[in-house]
Amino acid sequence: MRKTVSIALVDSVALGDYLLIHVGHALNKISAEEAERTLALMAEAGLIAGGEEPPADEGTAAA
Amino acid sequence: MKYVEEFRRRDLAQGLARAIRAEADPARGYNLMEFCGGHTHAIFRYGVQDLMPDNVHFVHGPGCPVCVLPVGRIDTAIELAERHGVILCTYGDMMRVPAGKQRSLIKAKAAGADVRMVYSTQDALAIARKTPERQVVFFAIGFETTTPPTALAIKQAAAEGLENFSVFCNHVLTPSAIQHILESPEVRDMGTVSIDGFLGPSHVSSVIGSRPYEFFAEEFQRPVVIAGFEPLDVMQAALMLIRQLNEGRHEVENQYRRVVTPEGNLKAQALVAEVLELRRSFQWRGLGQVPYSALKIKRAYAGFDAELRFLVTASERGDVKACLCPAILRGVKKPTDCELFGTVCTPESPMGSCMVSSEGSCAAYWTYGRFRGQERAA
Repeated sequence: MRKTVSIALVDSVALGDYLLIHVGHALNKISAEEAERTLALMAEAGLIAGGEEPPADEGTAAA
Repeated sequence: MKYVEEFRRRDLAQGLARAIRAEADPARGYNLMEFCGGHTHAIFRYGVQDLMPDNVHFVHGPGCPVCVLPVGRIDTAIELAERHGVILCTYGDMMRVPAGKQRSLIKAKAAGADVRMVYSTQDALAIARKTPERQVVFFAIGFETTTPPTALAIKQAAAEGLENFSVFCNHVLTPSAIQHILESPEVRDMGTVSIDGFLGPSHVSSVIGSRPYEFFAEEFQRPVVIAGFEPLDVMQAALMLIRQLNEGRHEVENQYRRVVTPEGNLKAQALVAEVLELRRSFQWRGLGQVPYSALKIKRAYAGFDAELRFLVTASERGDVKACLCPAILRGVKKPTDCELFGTVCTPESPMGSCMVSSEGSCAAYWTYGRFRGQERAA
């Protein structure tokens, strides 16, 4: 899918950047480093809570 | 899509669900209000509520831009198209919103008015450039996310001398609405809802930053966690709120660090400040008059203000009586508490605004959750 978007609201956009797009305008860049850190924290929360396997009573939780 | 799929991973969702169950104190409840309709949608679409223990509840707030616009403003938009014969450009989700006398923009269009759906303010400008003999009005709605594109369009029109373009400005502000909900006496009249903490908006915060929330985290002693729009973001933010509440903290934390910074998008903020200024008061559907909660076009750009260019009547029409949108927008009632829900009010023929937009609570309940209660009972 191709769409024309305006980058007038964000400074110094470079080829290969990921942008948050809303109503046809880029509002911000997405930080690859912060995205990785967030995913790592999510994984860590699950590990601290114990076990890779969900407990038996969990059922089919996540979609 | 990168930075989307990763934040829907099943294994991580299960881990976060375990962590929440482990850390939520069974001796207390956690009522977490998501202000933003995007979160409401994600919670329903991905069944996030079902992953929470019984004492963790999401309370749905008023952050659906289409839902909070009062009937009178849509009446005015219809008046602009019909009586003044302008080309009225609007975002698609405004088309079906009920206006007065059982009308809507889509019905006005069917009756011959020149109402056009646009994806972006840039499309509206393009129409104005292409049809210099017609007046083109952009029906500007939304929170801090749609405001910078509107301000940008006004500046572009001024720079180009695009004299047939103007804006009907209805932009509203998130922090003042949250504050109003916390302070409003009507919330007590409608019933009590205790809100223990807030999930802060994703895209709005990418523009305004995390700082504007610090005032009321302190003032109202409630934690705020700014959260992304994907299901894992919502779950992690819920976990962060639960931790704050367990530790008796009420701070602003930022889960959506991949996009949101403390200061936000300064370029967008500067543009908005140059073109728009605060209104003393603005009427919200469901909340009534909220002081300093909306923006209007500054005097320097008054030539592009549709409300000044065209003589329009201010309509103060009320909403459909039996519709519970006002209480639903404040998190006091659930969509299923409303007599109209799913009977005369459906997404195909909405009576209230919460049923119109996919971000509205009623539409989210209808699409993803309307059989939930029946299954539990069975």
